[in-house]
Amino acid sequence: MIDTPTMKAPIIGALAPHGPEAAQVATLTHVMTIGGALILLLVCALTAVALFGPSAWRTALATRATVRWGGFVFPIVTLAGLLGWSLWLMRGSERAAAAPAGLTISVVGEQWWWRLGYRDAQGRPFAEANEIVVPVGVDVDLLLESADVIHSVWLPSLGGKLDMIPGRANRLRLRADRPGVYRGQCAEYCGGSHARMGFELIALAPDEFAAWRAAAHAPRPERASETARRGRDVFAAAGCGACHTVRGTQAQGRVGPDLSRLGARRMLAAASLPNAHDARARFVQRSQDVKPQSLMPPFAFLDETQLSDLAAYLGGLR
Amino acid sequence: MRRARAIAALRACARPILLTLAGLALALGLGGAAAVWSGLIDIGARRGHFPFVETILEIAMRQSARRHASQIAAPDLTRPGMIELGAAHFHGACGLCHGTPESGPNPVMVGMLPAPPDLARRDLGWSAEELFWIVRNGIKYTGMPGWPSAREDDVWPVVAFLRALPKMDAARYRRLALGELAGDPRAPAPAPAGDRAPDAMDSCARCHGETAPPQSALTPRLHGQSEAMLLEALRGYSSGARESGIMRAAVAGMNDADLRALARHYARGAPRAAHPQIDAAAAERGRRLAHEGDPARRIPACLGCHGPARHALIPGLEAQSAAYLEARLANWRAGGNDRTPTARLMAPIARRLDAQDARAAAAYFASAAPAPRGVAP
Repeated sequence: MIDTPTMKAPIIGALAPHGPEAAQVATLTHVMTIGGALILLLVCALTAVALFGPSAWRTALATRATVRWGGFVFPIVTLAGLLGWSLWLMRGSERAAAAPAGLTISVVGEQWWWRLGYRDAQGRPFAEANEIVVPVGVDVDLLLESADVIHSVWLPSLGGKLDMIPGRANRLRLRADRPGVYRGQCAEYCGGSHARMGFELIALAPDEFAAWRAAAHAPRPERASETARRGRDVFAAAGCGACHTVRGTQAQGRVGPDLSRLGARRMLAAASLPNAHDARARFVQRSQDVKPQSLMPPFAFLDETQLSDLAAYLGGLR
Repeated sequence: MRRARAIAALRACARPILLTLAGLALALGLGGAAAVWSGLIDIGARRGHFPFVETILEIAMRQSARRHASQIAAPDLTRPGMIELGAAHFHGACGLCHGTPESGPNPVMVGMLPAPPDLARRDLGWSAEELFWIVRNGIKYTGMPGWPSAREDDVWPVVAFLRALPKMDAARYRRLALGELAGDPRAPAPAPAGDRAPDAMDSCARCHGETAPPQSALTPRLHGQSEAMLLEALRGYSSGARESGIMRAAVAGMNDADLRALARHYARGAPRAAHPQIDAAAAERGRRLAHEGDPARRIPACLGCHGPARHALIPGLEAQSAAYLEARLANWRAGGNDRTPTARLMAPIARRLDAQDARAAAAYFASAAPAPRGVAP
């Protein structure tokens, strides 16, 4: 369901708002930029008049009244007006945030990935990682925490940018008005692979989201292909389950990202690589080349067949 | 007035003095070059040094070792297994030149200049730190080689042994150095390097044991480990990628067929029985680390990789000696040994353990019953 053609290219950019928060930020940006440009033009024009204009105009500009109105009254009124307007805008969004959200997702920043905590319709918790799935048109609260250093969630097209501070939970209210894939990024330098700490937010139609959420605890079908079965054995033998969870199997590690539905994600390694067979194999084998200093060790001792089988198994986790 | 005259006088004689000095320096340089070039200097070892040269070299060596060792602090050299491991290494790698309490100095090597000191009969008065520095770095112009690995912690057992050596009789030496082969009259002469597989097996048995467990607690138990893992380790020692001065010396001169034969031999052996549990509290803590890890500190469960479903290149840890496991983890924690494919996996995890974790995990695995590698469930 996530591979629909309309969703191929992720949406990114603060000037392309796809939600109310981002729309406010975009409006503020537009008004400030255009207004600032107009004032700059006016000042340039007045300067030109003062230098090269007819002497009658120059005399008119040199009066006390010009200084009084243009130098004092105009900036005070303009700046006070802008301040009042932006405060009013922000007050609006705070009032909205006080209303209960339709969905709360726990997002924990870790060097260098995102640990996500959901609850299904029955209130049972389940973990995901690096791909935030939300329903369209619903106010969503991201409960932001950090497991190590300060990170920052930034979703330019949806307006969110808020720090994750160790020992503190911040709440970020978002709403996606249209289905799509929205690219996000850690916006606070957090160490070696900071630049590789991205994520995608996927906004689904409400019924698609409900199905996605309900599938979290659905029983895991037995692996069909022989390759994937061998890959499952490699997964167990190489000890992947010591750090990663695959729901419904022996793998219950909680150090690294939950892999229960890795195969359904668009991207790998916190939006560092497209989620393709070869990329999965390469990341397992040379993780430190892709994400230097991350906790994921390189499994350089697996041979090509083992890596390929493992990539097939991981790709089948949905 | 007087000052000006003095300066003028100095100027007048400065020139001839400088010219004389320059001439002397030139003559010395040319003379030296001529002496070297002419071949008149006798560099033969039989001839020996002039006595004063020997005295100067001796002083330089003493002072250098003393100065460089001043920054080194010796660990506890009385820990169990230290002297045994050092003795076994000395027998294979050092005894050829230095002689042993059993064999005495090697008459061929005595012809070196300087003659390798007979460490068994003469206490040269080196401190433990000075011995460490010398064994680690070797000594220029003497034929004493530096340690054949970047790893440092396996130098200390040799130091522990060297400190005990001057008071050691031949019988005790034989017991320490030959282990279970001590009673065997065909026990190898002190030159296992270069031997081929069957002899090498004897050399291995001196440390790793064949009928009995290893006599040093710092030596790993190899019987029953996977052949692929053993071969990978031996090849790593042979290439130097896996760091250990002791093992580098032990596999020196072996070819790949020898290494394969050794790996096969040990893989076929029956695993040793577990050690009796000594520290129940540590073992319990270790059991939790082994089964659950410590997710809050990003430590995965040991058995996640080392369990019965383990990959053929991953060792089983049960019944291994606690001192060995702790030393291996300490080596990783100190930043060493992280270049082989499997060490690149283990080293970063080991560095997240503290000394207590390492002791706990070692205590648990030492007293756990051997778990053979099975097929993944």
